[in-house]
Amino acid sequence: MPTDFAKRTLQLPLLAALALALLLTVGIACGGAGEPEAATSESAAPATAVPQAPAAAAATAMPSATEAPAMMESKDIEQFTVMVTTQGNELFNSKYAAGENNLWHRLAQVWLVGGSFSDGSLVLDPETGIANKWEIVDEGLAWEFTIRPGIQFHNGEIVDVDDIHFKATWAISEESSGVSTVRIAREITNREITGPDTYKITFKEPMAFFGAAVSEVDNTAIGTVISVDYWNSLPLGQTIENCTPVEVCQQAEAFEESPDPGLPGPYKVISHRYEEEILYERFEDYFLRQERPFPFNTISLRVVPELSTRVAALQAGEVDIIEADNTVVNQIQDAGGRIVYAPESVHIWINANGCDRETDNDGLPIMCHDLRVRQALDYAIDKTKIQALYGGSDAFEISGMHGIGSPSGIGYEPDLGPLRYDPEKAQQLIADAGYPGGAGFNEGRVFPIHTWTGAGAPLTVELSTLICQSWKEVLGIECEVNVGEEVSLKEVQYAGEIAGQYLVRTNENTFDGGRRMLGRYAREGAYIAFDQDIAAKVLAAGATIGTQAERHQAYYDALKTIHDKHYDFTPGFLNQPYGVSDRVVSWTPWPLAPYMSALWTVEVKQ
Amino acid sequence: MLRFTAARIAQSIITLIVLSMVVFFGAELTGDIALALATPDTTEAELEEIRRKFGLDRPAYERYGRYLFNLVQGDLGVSGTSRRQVSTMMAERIPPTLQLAGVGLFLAMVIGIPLGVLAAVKRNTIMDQLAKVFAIIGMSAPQFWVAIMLIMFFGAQLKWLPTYGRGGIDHYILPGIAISSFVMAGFMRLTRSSMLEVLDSEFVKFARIKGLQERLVIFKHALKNAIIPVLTFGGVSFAGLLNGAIVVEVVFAWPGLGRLMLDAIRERDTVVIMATILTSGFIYVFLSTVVDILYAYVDPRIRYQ
Repeated sequence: MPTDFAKRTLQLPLLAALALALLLTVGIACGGAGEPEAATSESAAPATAVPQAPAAAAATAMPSATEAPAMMESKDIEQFTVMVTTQGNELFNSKYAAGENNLWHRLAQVWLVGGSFSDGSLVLDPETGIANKWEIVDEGLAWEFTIRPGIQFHNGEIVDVDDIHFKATWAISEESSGVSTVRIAREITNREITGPDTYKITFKEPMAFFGAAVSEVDNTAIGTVISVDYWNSLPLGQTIENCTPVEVCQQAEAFEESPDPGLPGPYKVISHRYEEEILYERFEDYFLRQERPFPFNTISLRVVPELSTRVAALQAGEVDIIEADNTVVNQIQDAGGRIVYAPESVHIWINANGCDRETDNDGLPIMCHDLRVRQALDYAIDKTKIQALYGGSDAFEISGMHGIGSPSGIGYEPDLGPLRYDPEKAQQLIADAGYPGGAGFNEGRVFPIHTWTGAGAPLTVELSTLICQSWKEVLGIECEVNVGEEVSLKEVQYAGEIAGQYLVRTNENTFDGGRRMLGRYAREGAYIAFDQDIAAKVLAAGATIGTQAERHQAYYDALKTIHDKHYDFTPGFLNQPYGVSDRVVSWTPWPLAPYMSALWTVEVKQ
Repeated sequence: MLRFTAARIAQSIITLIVLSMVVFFGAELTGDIALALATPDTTEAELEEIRRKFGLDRPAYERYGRYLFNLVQGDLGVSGTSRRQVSTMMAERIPPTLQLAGVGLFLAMVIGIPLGVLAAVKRNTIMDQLAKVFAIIGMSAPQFWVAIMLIMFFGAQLKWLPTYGRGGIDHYILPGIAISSFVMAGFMRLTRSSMLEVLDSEFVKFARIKGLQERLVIFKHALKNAIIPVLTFGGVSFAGLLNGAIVVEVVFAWPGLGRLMLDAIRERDTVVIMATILTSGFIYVFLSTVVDILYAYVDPRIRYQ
């Protein structure tokens, strides 16, 4: 065999490989296999084919009352890229929009009631929403909104009461996908335009939390608007199943193809690839352009499910902000990035349903029916260990009330926080309940803790194990952790099959816990436990009209009753960590927001 | 031949119908789909309303019948979570998966086959040993790990290649290597063993005795014969690459069919789950059928069996 055999034998396949590589290169380049890098609006715009504002809408557009602010190109950067794990269904039509991690909406929308965060407080703000005034009228049964003049949709049309009416009649309806929206819609008795710039919604019963529900501090898109003129100009598309009235719903698909002209938010949608990327371009006539000076000409919102990939992208300098978790803090810092926490984002929720019942489906006594047992279980948990599990006080705070009350929300006071770890008191309570040292607890059966894992539920198995160990060590309860699948566990819990057994999960915090309190405790068939005392306080809070301080007090009374009854509890809440690149100088996200909030506060190195 | 082809197509159709039944009723067994659309404080009455809205209050067999009827008309339904036409979603997701699988197959062939030839020709040398180690790593290393390592090294550390997503040609390299690692090793091993067998045959010895150049012996006579089972493997591998792209698509944020399937499973979006699994099944059955028919065409003994 010749000595240069290898060279000669490999010569042909290598040439072939090179030729094939060349062919593939040309194929991909010419055949559109690769999507163009959406780096600039110029490159993305042709692919999106977003139609111009319809002629009818343009003809009716009124001159803007808001002076177009001065351009800020000298300080602004071309593109800002953010990465999320997952988000909702990416529909800009709020009737069908779903998902509390709804940054995609936030960038393109304006809410009926605005919010603001200053001096550590989150408040509803008449300066930052479509309504510059709102009041509860008709003996508390109705909300009346006054529409700010001059807010523009992206097609130049002015937001007016007709747009609000369209939103209120069509999107806030019983046919909406969101359970919260449907629940509100069911309570509405009348929707009316009461003046050239006033709009009123009347309810069957007083609904004090409606203002928060349609505000930007809420985690839903209930309060957003779309242009009715733009909507009516859209061609009829395919009928969306189960959507009524069909004549209107047929336009939903066309709207999603190009939602942008009909939205009024700080950014225009210029390209949308579902679950991949939404590219936004700044809307210079945004009515809060001065107050919220987003310093980016374009924003690329990327969905990247894998955490390692997001971290690698941050390390590679391909992205500015990523959703992170506490396991990658060091990795991000080592790469020159840093962590910014969004406060009060997600709470740990230790809940059982059916504690208002005496026996479970098998006729056996439900342990948590006894208040002393419920309190003992909470006192027995060492919250500082949980704090350590999640990475310390920056990441986890021993505070809050399982998603119905939070330091930045309505009605919360520090005395409503988690019970301080007190093993002696826990042992005394469990003994008083008839189970000294855990003897006879749960009829001698193992007491399970159920949980599930997932992107939105970090370290829940470790957390449940820690709680289980605490109950064993402090109370002598034989306990085990049952890790299941989310939907299946919900199913058995809803069906009452695990009544009285605790489920450890996470859930988003909220500014106004009124709706949650109603659903959990204040109705027949309530999710957690129907309790007359709580129901009375919750309904009273819901009916409270008056000053912010009065509403705060009424909510506090309801929360205090729930806290005293202790059907469910929390060891605290998680602050959502975000990894930011070294070019981000500062960013102050809002509390109670399970999404990247307040991006206008970002300062970027030039 | 016509009879064989018709029979094979009929078998494929039956397979797909059975698959659709397994998928549909399998999804039913996993529990109440309405719960995936509910919030923690959803009442039983509201759950009933959700079931009514999505037609989940109808018997399973009735819903299956309706689904099949719509399916043959090309209507895959509407996604429960995104409220979009599933056919539109599939049209968006199939091309990226095809592109990625195509690149994966290409890389697997252009690297795996020459390596296999080299290992066979240089049998029991250090080159052969290295090729075998390469094959073992390729076959045993999980795709997830390979993908993360590639991203960390070439993306985050060296910053040579993009770490995620679609884009220019450079975006195809890392996911292409990750998805092809297993198949590449398969090509290498199969080519090596097939080449060894052929190189040991009488006609190759005769060619050498005739004084033909070694290059011609290897590539014109030996490889030409050894490549047949390798190409067969390539056909089946392509279907495997299409259907097995879930992990790579998730890690690289590649918006393909696999990721759509995973998201749909997580969200209990039954309509999308069924569509993606049926599409994967269809691709596999289609490619198998084509390979079978081509085999029968090439080798008449098969169609008479």
